[in-house]
Amino acid sequence: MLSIGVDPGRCTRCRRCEAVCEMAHGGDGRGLESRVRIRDSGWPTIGICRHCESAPCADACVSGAIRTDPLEGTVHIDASRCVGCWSCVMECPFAAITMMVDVPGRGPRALKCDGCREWGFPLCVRYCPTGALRAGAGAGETSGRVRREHAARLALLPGRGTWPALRGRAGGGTPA
Amino acid sequence: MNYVVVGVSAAGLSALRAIRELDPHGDVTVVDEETRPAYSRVLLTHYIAGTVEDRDLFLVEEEFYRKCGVRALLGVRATGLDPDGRQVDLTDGRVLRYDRLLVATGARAVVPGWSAPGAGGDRGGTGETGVTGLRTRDDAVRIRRAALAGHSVVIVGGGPVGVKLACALRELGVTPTLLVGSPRILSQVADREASLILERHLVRCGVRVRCGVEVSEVIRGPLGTEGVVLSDGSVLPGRLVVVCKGVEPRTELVRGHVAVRRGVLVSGGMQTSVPEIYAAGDVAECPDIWGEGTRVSAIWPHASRQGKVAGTNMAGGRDLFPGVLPRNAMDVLGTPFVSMGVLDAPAEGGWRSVSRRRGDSYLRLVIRGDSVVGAVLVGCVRMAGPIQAAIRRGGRGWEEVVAP
Repeated sequence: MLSIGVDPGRCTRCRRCEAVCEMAHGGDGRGLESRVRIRDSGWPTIGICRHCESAPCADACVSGAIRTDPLEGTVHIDASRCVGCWSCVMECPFAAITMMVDVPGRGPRALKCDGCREWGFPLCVRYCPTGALRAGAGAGETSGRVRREHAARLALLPGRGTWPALRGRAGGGTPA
Repeated sequence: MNYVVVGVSAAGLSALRAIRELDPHGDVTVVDEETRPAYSRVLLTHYIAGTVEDRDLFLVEEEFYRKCGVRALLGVRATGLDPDGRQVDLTDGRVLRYDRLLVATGARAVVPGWSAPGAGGDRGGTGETGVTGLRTRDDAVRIRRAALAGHSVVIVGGGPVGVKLACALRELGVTPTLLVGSPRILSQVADREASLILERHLVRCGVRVRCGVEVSEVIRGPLGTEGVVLSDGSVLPGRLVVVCKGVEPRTELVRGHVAVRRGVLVSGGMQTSVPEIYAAGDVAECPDIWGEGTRVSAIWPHASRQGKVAGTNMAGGRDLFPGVLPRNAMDVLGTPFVSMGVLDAPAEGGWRSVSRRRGDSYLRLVIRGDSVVGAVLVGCVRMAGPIQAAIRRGGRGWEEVVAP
């Protein structure tokens, strides 16, 4: 697994990442399963998880569904525990949580980037044609710098601890 | 160091963890009146709906306290405080000495006169019919049982808890009646338009909603509770009456010893007016993020954050709570809803509001000067997080966030 970096300046809004993410997570092509969201205008351009070191979504989760993987530092939602209360959506400064409102036979639930655990490599990164999404050795630094800039732009209070940090990933670069 | 934590829910538990992280060998005692480990109150409506199992309500396992070397006194209550002698009295006669005390006693449900035990209410009862609040696991068990047995349920109070309960019962196939004292539902946490959108949605989904009425009396018959008499004189049948009229801080342990307004007044470090006594969670009254006043904000994220701050500072570390930003998120039968900060723009003084509506998707921002200080979102709420970040950084740059 590798770390993901975001550089929205390079994004042309081709939305290939949305389509690939949808397929990677078993969606039916309507885009509902995609954990990446590209906005037509405004900020943030690319809504994707930064896997925050002290994740506000996890702190806010009322059902203990959001946990940080102790080895990788990635943040995951356990779909079987999520009750769809949208507390995480309210807290995520990067608009990275996808809401599944209509799930047949089940209540609403939240989805987010899992770093393509099942695929071994984040597919949105593999198929991004402009390098707006990056991964691999060095992307740790790049993503760290760029994400820090975003955080500064969003002016998150330092105490919020949303500085991104991906630890211990093979080839993932240095922690941001 | 000798720590005593009174009350272990969101605040007490995160305080406990913070203390243990900094002081692995300190002497920690927790006191809680519930006999089982801490559970999530926020999940109680989900338990009633059947989407969360009983065992998943608990925040920690039975072994948790023992594993982290904490003495847990469960099923007892702290009744007295001696701040000079640094002692807490317990209901079982024990006296606990402390160097640092955390008051995390939380809040209790407001009990209107008509629902008090002497007036026909039977709170704390275990029958399927009667009058109850929705604050504890026992309350939730009772409500779920009544609903499954097919008893008619009347919910009194149109705040977040009342509305979430109505949704939960609807999911169970029950048709509850929601009685709201205000002219609209969610009047404390939503603006008018959002209230009306959500109310219409609830009604469409089969919840009966009546606004602008109070309960004046509970009707008791040979079989127990049979209904309520409303302020307009009409009678509404119902076997179980659930009172959701908000909560009030449980300050009685420290009242008279530390500064108390509505809640226990604390600094950003969660310290009360007595330096070795801290307070966190629903019992605490804290400066808001604008530094313009103090507020009690009984919400989960504040409680766990405040607990962490209190625990860190009690154990000799340094942490600061960034201030209260009131906020709520919920799912109203498939319609997401989020609100935060200031919800009403006064007519004068440089306030205005910006709103946008597309079908049942609604967004409203409250702007003071050039700064966003509050927001209401219905339907599409994905941008709620970036808006919150904008509010926290001083309110600028919101135009980008809400660009269509």
